[in-house]
Amino acid sequence: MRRSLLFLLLITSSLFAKEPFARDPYLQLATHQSIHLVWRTEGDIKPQVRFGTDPDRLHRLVPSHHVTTRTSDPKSKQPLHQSVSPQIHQYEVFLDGLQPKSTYYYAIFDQHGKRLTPADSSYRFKTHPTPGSDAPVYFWVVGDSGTGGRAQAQVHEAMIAHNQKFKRELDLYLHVGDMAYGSGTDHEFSTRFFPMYETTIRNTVCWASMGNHEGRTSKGITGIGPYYDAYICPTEAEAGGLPSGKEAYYSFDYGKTHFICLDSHDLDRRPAGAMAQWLKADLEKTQAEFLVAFFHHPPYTLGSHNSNVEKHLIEMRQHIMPILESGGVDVVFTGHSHIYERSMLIDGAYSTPTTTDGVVLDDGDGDPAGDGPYLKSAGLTPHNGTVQVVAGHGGTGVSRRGTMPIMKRIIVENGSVLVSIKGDTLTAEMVNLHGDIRDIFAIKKSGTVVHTPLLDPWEPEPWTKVRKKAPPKAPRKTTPLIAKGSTWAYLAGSHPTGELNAWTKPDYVYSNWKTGPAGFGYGDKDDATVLNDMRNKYRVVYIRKDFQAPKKMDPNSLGLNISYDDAFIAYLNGHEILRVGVDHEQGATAEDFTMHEANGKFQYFKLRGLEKILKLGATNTLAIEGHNANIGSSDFTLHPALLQRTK
Amino acid sequence: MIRAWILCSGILAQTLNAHEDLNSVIRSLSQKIRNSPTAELYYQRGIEYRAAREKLHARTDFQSALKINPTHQAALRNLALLHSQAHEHKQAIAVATALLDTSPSPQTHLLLADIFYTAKDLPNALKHVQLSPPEEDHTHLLHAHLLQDDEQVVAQLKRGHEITKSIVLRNAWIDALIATENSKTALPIIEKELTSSRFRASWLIRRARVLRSQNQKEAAKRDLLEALTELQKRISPTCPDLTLIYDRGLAYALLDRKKEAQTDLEILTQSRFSPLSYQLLVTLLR
Repeated sequence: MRRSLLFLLLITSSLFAKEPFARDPYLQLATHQSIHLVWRTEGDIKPQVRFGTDPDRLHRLVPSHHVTTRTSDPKSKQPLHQSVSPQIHQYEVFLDGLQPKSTYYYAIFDQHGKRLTPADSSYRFKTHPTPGSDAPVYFWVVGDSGTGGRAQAQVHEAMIAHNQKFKRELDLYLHVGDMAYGSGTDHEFSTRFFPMYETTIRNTVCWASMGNHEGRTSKGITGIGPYYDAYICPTEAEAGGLPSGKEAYYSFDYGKTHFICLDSHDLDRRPAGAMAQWLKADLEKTQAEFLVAFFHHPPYTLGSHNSNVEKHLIEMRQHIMPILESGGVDVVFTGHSHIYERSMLIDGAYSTPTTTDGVVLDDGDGDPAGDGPYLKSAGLTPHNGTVQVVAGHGGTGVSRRGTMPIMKRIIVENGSVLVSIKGDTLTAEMVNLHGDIRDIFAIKKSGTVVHTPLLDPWEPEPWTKVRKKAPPKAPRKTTPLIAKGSTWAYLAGSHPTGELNAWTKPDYVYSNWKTGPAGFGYGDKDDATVLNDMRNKYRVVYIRKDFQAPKKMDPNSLGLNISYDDAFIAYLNGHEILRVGVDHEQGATAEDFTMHEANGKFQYFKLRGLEKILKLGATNTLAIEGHNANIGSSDFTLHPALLQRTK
Repeated sequence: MIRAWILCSGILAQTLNAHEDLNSVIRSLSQKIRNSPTAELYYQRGIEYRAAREKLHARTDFQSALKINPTHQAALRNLALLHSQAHEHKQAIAVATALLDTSPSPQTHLLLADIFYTAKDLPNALKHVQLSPPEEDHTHLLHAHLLQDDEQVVAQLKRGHEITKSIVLRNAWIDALIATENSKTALPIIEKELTSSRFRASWLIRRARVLRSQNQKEAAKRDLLEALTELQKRISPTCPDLTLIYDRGLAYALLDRKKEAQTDLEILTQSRFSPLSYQLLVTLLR
């Protein structure tokens, strides 16, 4: 009884204990000499902010005239949105006189001198390097994340784990919009954005672009609404670039990289509009060597949205992309469409509908370990190629409606993008919510590179809607007879010698076959034995492995757990036992395939009718031929495991 | 504990926002309208129809919203815009005036100024632009365009730049200074931009205009030819950046290559580039 009461007390106290902050501290608008720190409390605390380069010696005090206090009182200067409770005080603190490229630690105190932020070195910030200096930059790109849900949290955690694993630290964070579903209200920002990213935004500036959901309550033309209360964006070129006079669109520099944020939602997108005129002037002025643009509505997508029919998307493609590409843009990050889509190196793809005709400059995968990075001239060169990245997969439900032909990668998973620019190379990785790297591309800028559009570029395979029913998963209790990642004998690039299906029999001599761990394949980062020579050369791979069957077992308790792309035929001791996605024939003469994406997932197939085939208490041979539906397919996967169901 | 609650509520939110393509949103709103029609639901569906370029459906929905709530401000604003874009000036003015009666704000005056300008009713456009938001760059661009006196134009754009800090207004002010042959103020800024810009064509053209006004025709010609060389490298022959076509048209016109300038003007006209922004090219070609 006493224990129950204690538990109840603990629960209620944790629910009703007064938190020091109504919105935890976060960083905004950084330059090489200054930064802003923002937070909210209930009631006025007349705060003091101390900071210094040593976490144990925060000897510098921010002068009180650098602290702006905002409330929802309409008579106050810069009032917060009317929906904000009158008790809420938002503090915006300007810290200046800082050294470039330096780390500082900070702490917030109330009027009584009580420290409100814990003595924790994660409350820190790093100033930008001197503009134009040769400093690398590493940043995180997220879009359409603002559900406050599990996937959003997982995407964030996967980014943190990835950075810990590779010992990396973010310099900045770009959000391409839809950060607070469903209408970007103040409450939605307070529950679906700030708490979700608290540990990151306390030490990393989030540079934001407004999405259509924030646009329901915030207006780009007036700069008023919860979105504009949340962010402090440059209006007077405080961090580089040219003054836009508006928080809705702006630019900033980080070393030799120029970032441009546009409002694709509610401002004039036409070339004569003020935003396009500012963009033109800004592009003429910058002396940067890399150019990154970000905004919400994607010029190219067939994810949850269709850029061939939707107004905002068409206008960004037809009106804004020509200005960006004549200014030498390298990468464009967008969201809105709930998917990850990444293009080849393209230029001039402004027509509707989007095709690959005369617009693909390099149809490789851009992967340094694959087809190699995309090559561009040093500096910013007009019409030298752009990579488009739709990163609307940051937390909400993902979906796909078709295949955008300029895309190199189309991945229907939640995730985010991590980008590094160092020296002459930009490298981007898509990390999914499980922490897997699902795509890599790089742009290397050196010397002079002249591109001519490819006459017959590669195109992704057409997409047909897959059934919504989830593929069957392996039973909970199983014993592997052949485990995932086991070593198999394999034959790639030729067909087995001997009679038809001889290679599937236990006594077949296969000493000239290679051996390697499963899975086998290329192109989708899920393979242990990578078949780099497969694409455009051959489309079938043969694998076989002996295994021991227990003396006492039900032959019908076996199942094949397999990740595959596109199709396969399995044999046990020379007998065909399972055929998936191959309608006719086998081996070299197999035909009529059904396409299937592995997407890193395993599918379980019960094996039946093995009573007369399986040899109990003896060695058996499992042989599988894996097929790619198209010889030029962007990927192939064959990764089987043989499981015995146990009770 | 609070985080757990937030996460739980988020899962519901995630479901609500899943697969949020336009057709699904329109279907969902239609279902809600069938169950319980409100002005806000009609307005929201109108916005989605507009995004899908279904202007007639959008218009009908904004009108339906206004039947339920005649003072729905967002519906009034969007309906006025749709009428104006369709050159239905009378209806646009009527709807925007109703909005002004409901919500007399500087933003509504700017909307009316734009509508009257499109309807070629310049006195009324001027009347409303004078009441438009001063922090908005478009206010000053339109206002300057509507003024007759060159000195007033310069003053308006200078004031606009001082208020907004927008580089677009600063550049428009420099163009106005050049038009009034006030090279003393304009030239130092132009020279500074020429030394600090990566692409120099637009500034070379501006300097050429100043040089022409000072009768330095050879120097002006050199600048214009250099500008053309840079522009030809930047302009994609198949899908040109229209802002560069405008610059090229200016350079051709100033070089007296009127046929080529006329071709560029036609590209701008056909692409519905705002006449407000290529007025100088039209003037040079007269």
